Amino acid sequence: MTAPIVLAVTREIAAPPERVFDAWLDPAQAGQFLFRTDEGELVTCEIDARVGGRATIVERRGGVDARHRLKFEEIDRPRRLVMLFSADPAAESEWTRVTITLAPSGAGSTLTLTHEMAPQWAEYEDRTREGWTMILGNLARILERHHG
Amino acid sequence: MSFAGASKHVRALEKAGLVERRKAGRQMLCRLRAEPLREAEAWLRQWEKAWTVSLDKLEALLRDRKGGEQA
Repeated sequence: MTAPIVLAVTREIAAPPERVFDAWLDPAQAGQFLFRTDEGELVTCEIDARVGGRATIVERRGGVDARHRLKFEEIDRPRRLVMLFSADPAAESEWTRVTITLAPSGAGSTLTLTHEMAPQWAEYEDRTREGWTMILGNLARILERHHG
Repeated sequence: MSFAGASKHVRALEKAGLVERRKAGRQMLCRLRAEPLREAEAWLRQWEKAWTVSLDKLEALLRDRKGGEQA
């Protein structure tokens, strides 16, 4: 039980994995899609694309700055990109983990994004969240025992 | 599940803020507090929506660039 709350999204994209991968790390491209909304206006898009490097993307939404912080953990072009992620209103220390995997698919790629809220990457100050994680861990163990 | 086992899980739920325990004589009354579950659900919904928007824009961006390069 390593990732109690996981969000997974899969997409077919009509571009080869290299092109898709690079879009995440190139500020000119990332600034056009990553954490962007139709209503928002891009304020900052800074990306230090190396392991341990950080990125900041700020979009102004209705007069309020929405700040998104990334910390790169793994950069394996064009297959896999792993980032710690934190966004307002979460505290700076409250990281979640986002993993992008790319596989060739016909003339394009299949992109899989997973977003995990897991205790080993987060320093949760929020007790309820910590508890939720623990609960799911306990539930999983109960279910495993019943099946085993 | 043994009583001790069940009791351990109830304590975990209590520590998590999902259950409130109250002693009434020899009985232990438990009440479910669903707010943390709702919070987790809200988190999932919020990010599913946000990533969907980002990926829509990524698709559009790569489509446009492809067109631009071919032209």
